[in-house]
Amino acid sequence: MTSSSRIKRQRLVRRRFLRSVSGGLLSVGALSCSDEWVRADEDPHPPPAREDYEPLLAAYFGDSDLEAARLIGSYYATSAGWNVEAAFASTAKVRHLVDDLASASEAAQVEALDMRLQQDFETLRIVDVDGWTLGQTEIDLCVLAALA
Amino acid sequence: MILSRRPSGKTCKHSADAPAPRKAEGLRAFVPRGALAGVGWDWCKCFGCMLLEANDLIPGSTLTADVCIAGAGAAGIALALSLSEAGLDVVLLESGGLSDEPETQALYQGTMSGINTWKLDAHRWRLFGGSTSRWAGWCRPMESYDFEIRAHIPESGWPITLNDLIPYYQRAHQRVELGDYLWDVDDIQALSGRPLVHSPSGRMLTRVFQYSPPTRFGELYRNTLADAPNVRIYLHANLVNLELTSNLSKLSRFEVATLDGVQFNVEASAYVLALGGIENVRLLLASNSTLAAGVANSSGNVGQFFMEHPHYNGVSKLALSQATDLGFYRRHSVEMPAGEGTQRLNIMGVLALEPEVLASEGVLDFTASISEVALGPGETGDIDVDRVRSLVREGEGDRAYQLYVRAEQSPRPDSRIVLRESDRDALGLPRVDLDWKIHPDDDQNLRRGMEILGAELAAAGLGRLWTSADADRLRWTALPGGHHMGTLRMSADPEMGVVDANCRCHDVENLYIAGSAVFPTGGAPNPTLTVVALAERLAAHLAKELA
Repeated sequence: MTSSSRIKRQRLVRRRFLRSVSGGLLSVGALSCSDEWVRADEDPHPPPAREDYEPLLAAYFGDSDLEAARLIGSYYATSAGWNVEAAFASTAKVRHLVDDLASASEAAQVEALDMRLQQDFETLRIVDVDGWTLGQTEIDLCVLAALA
Repeated sequence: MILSRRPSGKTCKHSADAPAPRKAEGLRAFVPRGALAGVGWDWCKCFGCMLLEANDLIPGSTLTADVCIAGAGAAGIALALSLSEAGLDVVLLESGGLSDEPETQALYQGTMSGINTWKLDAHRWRLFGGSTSRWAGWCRPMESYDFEIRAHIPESGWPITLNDLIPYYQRAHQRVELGDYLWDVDDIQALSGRPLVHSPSGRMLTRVFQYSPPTRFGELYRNTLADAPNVRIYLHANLVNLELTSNLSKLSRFEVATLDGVQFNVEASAYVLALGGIENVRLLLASNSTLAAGVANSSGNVGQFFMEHPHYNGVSKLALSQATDLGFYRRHSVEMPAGEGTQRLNIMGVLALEPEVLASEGVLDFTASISEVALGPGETGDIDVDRVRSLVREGEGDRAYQLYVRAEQSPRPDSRIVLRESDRDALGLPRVDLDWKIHPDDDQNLRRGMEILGAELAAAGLGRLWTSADADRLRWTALPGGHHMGTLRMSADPEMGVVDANCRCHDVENLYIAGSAVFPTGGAPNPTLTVVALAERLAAHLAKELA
């Protein structure tokens, strides 16, 4: 394992660890302190990888329904003609929302996604997927699920 | 049993030369309503002049009246009732008899060169009472914005307003046996007790249909009209020509014929065509011996702008994920206020969009009723309902609903009726071809309406809505409502319409049109209540004009 990949893995482990213990109580200050051991010549806040979102997606959709979400996301991305990078890029807004709540509990993150989805419908941020009227947030999550 | 149309060798005493007949009051008092339907007796001989048989008239005779109405459907009968009450002398002509007759019904046959999901002789009925012999009783008045010019609907705008019609809607309520004129959904919901679907963003609303029993106009009002001393009803009397005066500004007579070959005329101070949105056009175009374009057709608008209410059954489906009380949206009975008391009526809630949303999104009006259905695989395209249901996080459940959407259609001149001169019926009248068209934009329009409805249903926690993306499927599964509108549209401008705000033909000062042919736009509601209201308004106008 190279030094850079080791750091990435450590960062990944750190993030998951932070999520598991924070319980929504971790302050912004504590979060920034945890970055002190990152090498200075690396981007202190690299973007999460696709697989980073899988635990949240499982929590949001439920383990039993995650496969349905993957199929819908895959259908949508394929219909749009996206490759993997383009599909991942299309989910930027929901990823930013999730990333901004990285320090919050999983339940809080799910609740925030629900609220955003509600806003999607109330403000007509909607998408036609094979005739189904879906909210932007949920189709973004489906695409993420397909990529994870 | 088909009513005999010929007296058995005897001539009816009620010829055109006889004085106005007096009714056989004694016999009639013992005859219960409806008991005589289908009995093969000659009305005139046995029961006096309740209803007259046109075949008994002396050929070539001329009847006279204050008003002659051609067509005894909802519009014609409502008009005759009110004109009779106003003291005017009325002749009411009906092509059919008191029950279905195949040879009479066959006069309706024609072709459909456009959308042909129905047949011309299968959605209108040619007998006393007309299509009210079959209608399902759905009633709702038009909305106020239906009468306004709407920027996203070319050719929209009526020369009258809802307020002009409300007094006559109240009268129409009585004709179709509804209670008081009450349409506020919150008031009705309070009477129902069942909850309404909440609209989080305020885009969606609930409307209500009230159901007439349904009123069979021919049965309910036959005796009233027959008993009226100033009304003569002629059965089996087919209008075959409208004859103009020499200066072309007025009608001089209706020319009438029976299938058995008896021909006679009616001369009146005012003439009304109440034959339906297709047949009215047919007679105007076919009466072309003086003017090649037919009667009342200097604008060229006669027969154009044919509109239906496309009924889209099952093109939208709702995957519901939680137990929700949708009882208000099923047909159920409610004690509605009626005069001093109440009347038990069936009502049903339907979903629609707020008028501001319709205007801002440029969407045509529609109503959507909901019925529970079992959705199988493949019924919603590539993504099954079960997969989508997995996305819905609110509650538990696996119910699905189908939406039955009744949509407004945008008026377009090339959706039209023309005559087929080479194909004539048993009376020698050219048959019609109906080229019913729905503008492609209407399909996109409906889909946008469904998207907005779907967003609101999702916001209300009711699941996810699917609408067919197949434009062809949307158009070619559009079933008709039996609502034939727009072909003789109302307009203050003679160049833009056929009749004025009083339903009088711009070109012919003593010719009026009754029925949904005069609608410039169709709105979303079923037209019958508005048809009867317009007939009541026309009756008031004629009573004033001819007083």
